[in-house]
Amino acid sequence: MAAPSLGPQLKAGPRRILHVDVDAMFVQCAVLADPERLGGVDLILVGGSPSGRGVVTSASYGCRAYGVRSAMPTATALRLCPDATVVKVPGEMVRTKSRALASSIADWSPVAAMASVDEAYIDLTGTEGLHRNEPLVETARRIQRDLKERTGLDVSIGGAANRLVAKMATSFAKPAGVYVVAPGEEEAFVASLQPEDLIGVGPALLASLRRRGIVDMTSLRALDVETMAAWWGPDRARWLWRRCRGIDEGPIRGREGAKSISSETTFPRDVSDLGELERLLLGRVVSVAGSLRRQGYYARTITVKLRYADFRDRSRSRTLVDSVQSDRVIFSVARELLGDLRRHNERPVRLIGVSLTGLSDSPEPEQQSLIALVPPRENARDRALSAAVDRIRDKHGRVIAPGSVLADQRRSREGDG
Amino acid sequence: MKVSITREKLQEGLGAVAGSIPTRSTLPVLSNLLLEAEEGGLRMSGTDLDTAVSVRVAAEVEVGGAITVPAKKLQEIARELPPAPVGLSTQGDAISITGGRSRFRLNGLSKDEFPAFPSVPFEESWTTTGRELNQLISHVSFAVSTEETRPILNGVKWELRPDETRMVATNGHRLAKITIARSSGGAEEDLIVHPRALQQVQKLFGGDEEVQIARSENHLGFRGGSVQIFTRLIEGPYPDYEQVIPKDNDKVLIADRSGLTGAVRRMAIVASDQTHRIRLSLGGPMMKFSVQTPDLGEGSEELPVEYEGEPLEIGFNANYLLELLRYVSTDEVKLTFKAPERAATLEPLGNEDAPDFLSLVMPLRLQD
Repeated sequence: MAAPSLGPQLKAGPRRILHVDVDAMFVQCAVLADPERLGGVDLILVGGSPSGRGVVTSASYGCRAYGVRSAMPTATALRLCPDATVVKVPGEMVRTKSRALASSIADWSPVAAMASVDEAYIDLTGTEGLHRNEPLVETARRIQRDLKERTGLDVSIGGAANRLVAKMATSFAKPAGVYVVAPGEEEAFVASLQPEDLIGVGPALLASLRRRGIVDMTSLRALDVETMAAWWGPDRARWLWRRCRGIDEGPIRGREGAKSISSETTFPRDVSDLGELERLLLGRVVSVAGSLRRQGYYARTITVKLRYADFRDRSRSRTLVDSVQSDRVIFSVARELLGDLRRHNERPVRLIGVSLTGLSDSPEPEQQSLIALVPPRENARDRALSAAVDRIRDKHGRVIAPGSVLADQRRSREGDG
Repeated sequence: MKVSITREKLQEGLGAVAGSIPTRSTLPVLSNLLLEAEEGGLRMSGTDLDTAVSVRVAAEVEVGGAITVPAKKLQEIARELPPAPVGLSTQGDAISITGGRSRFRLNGLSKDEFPAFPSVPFEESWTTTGRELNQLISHVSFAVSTEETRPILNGVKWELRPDETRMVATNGHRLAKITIARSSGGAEEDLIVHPRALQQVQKLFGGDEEVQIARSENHLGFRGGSVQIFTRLIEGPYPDYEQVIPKDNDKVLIADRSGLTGAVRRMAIVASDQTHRIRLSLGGPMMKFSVQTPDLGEGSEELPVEYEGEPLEIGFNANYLLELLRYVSTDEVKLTFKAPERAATLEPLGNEDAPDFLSLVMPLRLQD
């Protein structure tokens, strides 16, 4: 979504940006959802099942000490940390707390936005007078206490003159701390890090750096932008050159430029039956389509992914003429894609996922169509129905969904208890 | 089967049939071609079940018979053989191939496993020429949809009327339509044909060669010279395209075709990779082109044109415009417009001999 900047820069001089990140959000929410069972428990794994299927969504700091990381298969995590308690993702609590966090930070500055379910940026530029010109680190501590009181969550806060450095500073604040990089110190701060600490530098780019003998920040910062451009193209070069100097002039916005929205689930046992797979697919569609609409997007490309029992992934996608966002239309396409995948391979499946890409913030396609020849798949009724369902969910939680999806939710809750 | 054939004739036949053999198939026999030795010639056939191609080449047949053999391997062998007569003979389900001092033996499959060709009543055929077919097909087949959601638009609509024949194709964003007079009359038909079959027709029939065409309930057959092509018809109905051809476009632009093509092609260089969006500003004797692509840059150009109507700002996918311009053979083209969100038409202008070709393209939303 091309969200406009939420506010103008009020005056020149260093900006005052805070990055707020909830410590092990899913673990904290799991404890808040079931304090009797989990209160005081140190070793908690969220995601997957006690039988060891699925992957870790989030691990408590206690588990992390054993080498457990998120996205690790739960079975592996349990080998590293056998005493851990495995709990389901506390979806409802995460959504509730995320909304509470969003409304709390909004009280601290008009220029504040959630960057994901468990992190946010607050731009305090121009509010110095309101806080009696106290140092940024003091304001950050007061925000931290306020959020704990209002949401029950422990957060870590990084502060700096821009988003990029503030976010990197947060990792020095964890857990439950505050770390502020003083104005003018951004470049020195970034220079003290390693290339892999830079946000946005992933394994592929890191490998490409290593191949060229760039193993630390000093050698990375010694490159000129032309050399970088010859290796990675001009856009990537400019981006990396600025990044390794801690330069970022971007404003604080909501979740801008999301490129895809996806949801997947690992089954408690492998599934072969097409009818059952379709039901599980519907659950994923309800989830991704809901996120899509909450973020104000429409999608053109729908992808269905299956992971077979032998861990091989297969996916099929389809790009539509028009952009869509309703459960009905997204499911009708996803179901055809699933049918296609199953026609080619009927082996048992352990995971199903749906992702939406080609996102835009308007239902109007850029390329106009001869609608008499290609009538749009999604009509006003589809969109109105989705909007009504979303309003009910906003107010009462996920009480409304297709019957088979609700039945699945109930089964999984009972299975959990 | 025992046959002697020149290397050239063997290659000629294989080249004609190769296009109909699917590169990947779940049915092994479809990777094979069918060889049938008959009086005075060798017939070679291939099919992907939707379209089948069969061609007969001259050969000395000592013993008749038939077999299916792996098409790709036979083609590779034929390509590498020395320029000498080639001997083909079968032993059971295997074929031996000899040429010069080379000998090969390929395992084949029985002829009985090869799908039977559909039967179409050529005794009730109508006739046309390779040239006519080529003219029709080349003007529209590029415009078919490749999206699987609306299979009907994956085909070319072919209308045969007593004195004219017309082909139409569209993907819902742009449409191409060509009408030509029929050189010889015949049946009235409304057909929807897969462009892959039409590609084979284009490749295998040319010039003034007479081509017979006949249809059965579900299939269409083409026959001319030594070649036969069969294709499964796409089931209709095709949407009513006439209703989308604008009748009230009140802004008319006449431009030099090569000047227009050059300008669009240059603007396309700096257009977005995703949308290929270019902006046209119309009004007055200079038409203005402009492109602005975030993170890339911008470009602009002007072209003298004749324009009648209110000024108009309109966006298009440059590739769609270039595709349509490619099939206009006249020096000048006429474009008509109504509004920024309505279809524009493009047609040739000036030459009486040019085919009656009309294309239309839907605009791209401008960003501001």
